[in-house]
Amino acid sequence: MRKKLDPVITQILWNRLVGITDEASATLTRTSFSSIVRDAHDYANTIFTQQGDLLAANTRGTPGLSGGMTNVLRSAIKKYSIEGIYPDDIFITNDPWIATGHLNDITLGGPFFYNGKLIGFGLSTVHHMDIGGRMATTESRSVYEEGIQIPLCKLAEKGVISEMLLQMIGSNVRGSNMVIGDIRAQMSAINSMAIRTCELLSEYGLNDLDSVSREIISRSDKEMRNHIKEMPDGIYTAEMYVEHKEITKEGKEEDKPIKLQVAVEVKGDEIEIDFEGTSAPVAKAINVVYNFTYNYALFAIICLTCPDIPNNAGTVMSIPVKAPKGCILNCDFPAPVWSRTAIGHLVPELIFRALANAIPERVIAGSGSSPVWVEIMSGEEPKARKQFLVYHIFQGGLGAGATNDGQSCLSFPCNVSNDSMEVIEKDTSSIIFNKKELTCDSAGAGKYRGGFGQEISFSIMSDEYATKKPILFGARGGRFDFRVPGILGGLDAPKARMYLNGKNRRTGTDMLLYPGDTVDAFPQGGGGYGSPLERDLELVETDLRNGLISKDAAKNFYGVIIDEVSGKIDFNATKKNREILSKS
Amino acid sequence: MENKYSIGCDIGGTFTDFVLLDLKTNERYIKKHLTTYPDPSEGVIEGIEELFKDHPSFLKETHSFLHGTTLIINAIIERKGAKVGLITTEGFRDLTEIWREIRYDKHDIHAKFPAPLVPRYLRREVSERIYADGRVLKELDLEETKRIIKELEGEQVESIAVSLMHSYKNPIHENAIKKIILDDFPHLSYSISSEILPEIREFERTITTIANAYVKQLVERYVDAILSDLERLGFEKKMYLMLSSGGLTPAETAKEFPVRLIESGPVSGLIAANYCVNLAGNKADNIISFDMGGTTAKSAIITKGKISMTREYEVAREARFKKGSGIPLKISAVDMIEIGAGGGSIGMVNKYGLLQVGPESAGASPGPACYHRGGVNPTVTDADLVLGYLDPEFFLGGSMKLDLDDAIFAIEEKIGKPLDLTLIEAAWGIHNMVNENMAAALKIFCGEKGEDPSMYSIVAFGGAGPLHSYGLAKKVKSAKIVIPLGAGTFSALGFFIAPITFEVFSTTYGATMQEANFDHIETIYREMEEKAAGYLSGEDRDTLQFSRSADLRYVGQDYEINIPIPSSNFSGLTKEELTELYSKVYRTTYGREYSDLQIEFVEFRVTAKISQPALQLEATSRGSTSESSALKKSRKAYSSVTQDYEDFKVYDRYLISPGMTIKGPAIVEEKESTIVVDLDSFASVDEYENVVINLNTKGDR
Repeated sequence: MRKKLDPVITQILWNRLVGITDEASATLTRTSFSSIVRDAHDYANTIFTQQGDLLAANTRGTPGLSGGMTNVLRSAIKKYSIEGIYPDDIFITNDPWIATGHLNDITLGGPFFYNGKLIGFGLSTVHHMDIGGRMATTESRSVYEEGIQIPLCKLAEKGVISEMLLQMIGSNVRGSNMVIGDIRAQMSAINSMAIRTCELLSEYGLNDLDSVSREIISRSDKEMRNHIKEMPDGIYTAEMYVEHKEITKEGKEEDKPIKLQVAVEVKGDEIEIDFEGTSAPVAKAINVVYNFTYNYALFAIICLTCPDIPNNAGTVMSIPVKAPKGCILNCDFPAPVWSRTAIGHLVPELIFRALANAIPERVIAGSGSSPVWVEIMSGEEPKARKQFLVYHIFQGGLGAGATNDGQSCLSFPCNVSNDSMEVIEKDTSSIIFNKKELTCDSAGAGKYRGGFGQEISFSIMSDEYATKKPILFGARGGRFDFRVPGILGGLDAPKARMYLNGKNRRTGTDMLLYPGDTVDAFPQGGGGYGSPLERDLELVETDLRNGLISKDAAKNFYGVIIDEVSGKIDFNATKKNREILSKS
Repeated sequence: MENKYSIGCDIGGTFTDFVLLDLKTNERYIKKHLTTYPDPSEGVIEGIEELFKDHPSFLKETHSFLHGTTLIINAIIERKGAKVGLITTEGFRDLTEIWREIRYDKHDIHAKFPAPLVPRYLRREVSERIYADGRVLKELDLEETKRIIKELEGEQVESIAVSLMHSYKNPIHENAIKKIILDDFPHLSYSISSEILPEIREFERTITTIANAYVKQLVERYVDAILSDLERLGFEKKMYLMLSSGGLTPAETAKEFPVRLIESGPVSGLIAANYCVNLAGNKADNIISFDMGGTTAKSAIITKGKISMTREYEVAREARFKKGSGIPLKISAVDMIEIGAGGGSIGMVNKYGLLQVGPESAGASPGPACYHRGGVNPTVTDADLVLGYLDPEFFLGGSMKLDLDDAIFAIEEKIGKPLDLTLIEAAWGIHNMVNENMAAALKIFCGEKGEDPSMYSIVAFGGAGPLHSYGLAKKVKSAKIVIPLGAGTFSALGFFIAPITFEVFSTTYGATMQEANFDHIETIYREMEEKAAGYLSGEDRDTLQFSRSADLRYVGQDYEINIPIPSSNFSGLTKEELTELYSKVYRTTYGREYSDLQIEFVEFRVTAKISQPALQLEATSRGSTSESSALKKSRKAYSSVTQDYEDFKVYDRYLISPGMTIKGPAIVEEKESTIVVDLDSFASVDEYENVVINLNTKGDR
């Protein structure tokens, strides 16, 4: 057997390692009990070197997890030392600061042994449906209110599973079958990665992953640096504000917007990202741990440089990320962090904005889908009298780019899918959806417009078959005070709205819903790109015809003159009008 | 009139193939006709007329006309279907533009999605609402419905798709809309979701119904044109079309459910593969079909004679090999993967400084460098030539000369020099890499189903399949390869084997195992059987058979497992029996079971089947010949075992005979394909002239 790793074998091994994480993900998805894994794909499966460097990650699923996973592994190695890690050990934690930023994410990991020697690790992180605590609210005052905390510990040692620990977790969560079932599915995924990796070594006559790891990591590093080199050097900055209200000593609500600030320094083949100037953590559960900030900062750079680069330790070597300790993007224990996405999901947009002038052809405008909108409902199904737990995810529109409109209702920057409304109605026998449709004029105008947001409305059934008990409801997502920004001359998208029985409400606080109550949410569209006066008139006409923009919007934003008689665009008059408008 | 013949006709992108099967002698007559555009039915009729000249009696003596076509898939890809209007429940007209809200490529922020088949201004809402248990919360407004259809008619809509919330549970409002169309708008084509896909999940049901409406008139016109021309020629028997699920369906039914025919081409080859292996007395074999052509390789798995099916089929992808970038239809289809790996796949140095092969293909034009048609990029075929697997003088039976120097030059310039590899290392790298790509995809594909490819035999066909099957089999640790005779016409055999089928689904009753009323389930099955039989009413019912199955899952899980129901009387089954059946399959698939969890019924299925007077291939009557008479010569080719060139004996595929054993290293050449057997393995020839390679499965690199 030849041991030299030539450019053929290296690529084969690389593909195979990524394939192993994808195969493990298939196992996880098929055996999972929660819609969050099955449909929303909110998980990650990864392979690490024995030194704790990320080597391969599954291609599907949501970004924002692998940085935390690296930290879990390194912390485990530190805690137990390499000598203290045995075959068939499984370690576990959901510590937000060690792992991925809130308690719902449980990370499991285990060593790979080959011929009696430790050669690497497999990790699996899943966003679990429930983790106990106050469920869906940003009102928790510390992480203690947000659910059960699992310290970094061994769930299994030498193959012996701590049933007590599983019972402990099971007793502290709603829907324990689902949560424990998914933890077991994660163990299967890790096991599958271990078996396949060992098979790979045996097939290629290798003793360990060292030589292939070096190749993968150094080549990825080099590739990322090549892309960074193409960007013009400079320090690029941006800031944005996120709505936030604080309660004063007098008990009054006071607007205290949170400032997010970034400086992106491109220097040769490195990019340094620094969030200096960002506001301090807040009382609400929207604080972000460093790992989460780090991941979404890297994610943004990958989107802008080489979207097809595989995710591993080499990809990110050239991108140091700094967030001052004690700012809202690097909060300390025991800050409440449940809805970290409310802030963390804006990180890519902030970075895109900073780099808009440096690489205008790569960036997109702000997206109405950031931060992700989730409605969580828990109650009793009236027929079987069993508890239900609904995790209803939906999205606003994507921001426009230099050559394309934004896609309507598309997840960004996380990547999760919606659920069938018929299935939710069937499983709850209590909820009825009134509407799920695109909202007219919800996108920012531009040469390319943003994707449209939607209106999603549901009620609690109130006829004789309906539940008599209130349903606990919580939501996160939405930008209610600050509009989703357009970019490079594109216009902003209008603000998000949410109503309970026609009255203005906001996400973040949980509430009880009673039969007959109606919740109506309007996630925003995406921001526009470039001046709307340059938009192709045929595209304006198509949007008009489809009822996606109003005549007023056509007139006010796009400078379009509509012939009163035919109801169609008067192309000549419009052209003149646009000329006048663009001069003023 | 005697039923002497059956005709199979398969329309491909370039050729329309005809196979006339003599049911008495099993002789096959082959005819190829160029596919005609824009109306492929013209080529069908022209081809038949030509066949008629050669066999004047056949039209009168033909039992059936069996047909597979890419018409439907092409209409959707090229957006050449009807102008469709959608009628849906108030509040839900945008589902097919909102999609699943997930990105198919995590990092590509500019990725495109397919435009909806029905633009928003043609998607209309009616006031009505039915709840999940089927009760009517709001009556349908009939007057409003009429007005809306009239408006759509005013927009020149030709075909109407109707999909209302929970119609799978209670179709009363959809039926009322159908009645309005039939009574007041008889010229409009219509597709009703509770007939097309009576299943929960509003997005999938609606988009599948729309796709049906989109191609319905096209298929009607097409089938009618062929039928009337056939009639004109004197053909009096029935026409059947191949379904994506691998069954045949009468033309009348096909016109009603065209979306079920979306991909009928590749299925035929798979059925033929299954048949060939079973013929040769390997009934217990699990099979991976491996069809590798110029641009892609397609694979499907057959476990204990059962073809692996899927209910999810994606069509018209924006990015060909990216899952999630197409229109997701919910239809029964053979579960097949397509990998960007073929003879024309290009080898290149990627941005990481490593070798990459595919998915880009040189196609037929300019083609591989060795075609000498201006192609400068090294391809898999170029590598196979340099490695000695292909004979430059005997490509396509010698009808096309390959240029070895061009192949060498392309590989050295584009791969060897930049990567500092010798010619052999580079050529072997390309060959090995394309095998690896296919093996990796196949492993994930099998893994998703809980299957292990090493437990499977590979049936290889297509131009490049037999050559690459050895390398693929080694990588997935498969012990046996079966290569049928005549790869070129092999696929069409499937037409004569597929049964006539119709499938019916029902999700109207859902219950846990504990609470399920088995008598009620029996009633559901009976109704479904009646319905299914209705769609096959014009057929010879002597061999009509029903197979029942049910989709079950653990409460809380979302993936159902399809369990064949072993009895025609559900009431006679016990809950324990069914629980055990389910647990057994679950265990095999996922390696464990949950005895503490409830099992629930999600869906019931019935397939009505009528067997054809099937093709009866018989063992060859050719006596055995000596090995030496089939031996053409020997030539140097690369052995992956010794990692050097060795002398490979070269055999003539047409002269080898049953009982013969060929010891590797050897090459067996037929006109359209080449078989490679390395020195650690041997091949034998069975009585149906399949070449069977037995591999040494210990280790590979």
